[in-house]
Amino acid sequence: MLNESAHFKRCTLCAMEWPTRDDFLNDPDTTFDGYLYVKDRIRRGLPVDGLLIFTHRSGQCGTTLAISASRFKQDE
Amino acid sequence: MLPNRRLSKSYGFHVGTSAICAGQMDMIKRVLVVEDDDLFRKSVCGFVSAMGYDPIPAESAEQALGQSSNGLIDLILTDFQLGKMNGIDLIVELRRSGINVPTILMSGFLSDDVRQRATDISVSAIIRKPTDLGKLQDLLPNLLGEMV
Repeated sequence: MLNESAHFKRCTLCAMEWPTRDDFLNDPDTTFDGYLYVKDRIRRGLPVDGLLIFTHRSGQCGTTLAISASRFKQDE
Repeated sequence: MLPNRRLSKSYGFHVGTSAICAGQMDMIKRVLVVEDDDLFRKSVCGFVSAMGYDPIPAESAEQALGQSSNGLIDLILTDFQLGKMNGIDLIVELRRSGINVPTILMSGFLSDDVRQRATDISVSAIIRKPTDLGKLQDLLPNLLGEMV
């Protein structure tokens, strides 16, 4: 089960938190690296829509941040 | 020589291998997957498993050292940026403990300095996340000494 919590995303390495999607997208230290689609046969609970992969380039941090693509869908 | 041919139960599925016999099960090669991001680690483990290998997931270098303490690892696939100990330090530490297996370093961004350090310690391959993940399809069998 995916971890849904109060904040939009928390960095696994430096523990920085982005409260909302906009906070995350507007942070100049988060850079988009690409999209990863996970095929049905290996998905096993991973997001159907695939993952957007970012790098957190802040200070000594430089870790990967993978976020379900569905969390970036525009609200109706 | 490492007795590295035992099946782990740490990641319990193998796509397409349900019909293999017990003798073949013993031959499934184990890939240590070290990645701190939960979703990305699970994705890579799923990919490795779908290729017929046994992924051993670890979310930190420290956990990876524990997971491999029995020496039953055939290949190390590690992120570079892991926290206190980075992927290169991890590879060096594992070799120091006697685990001399092929290594793949992966990262979203690698500086020239890090690339040079990886070359200096003879990392088998460097791949960029996520765009180079497809290269594992050829890299894993090649580095594990199997026919592609």
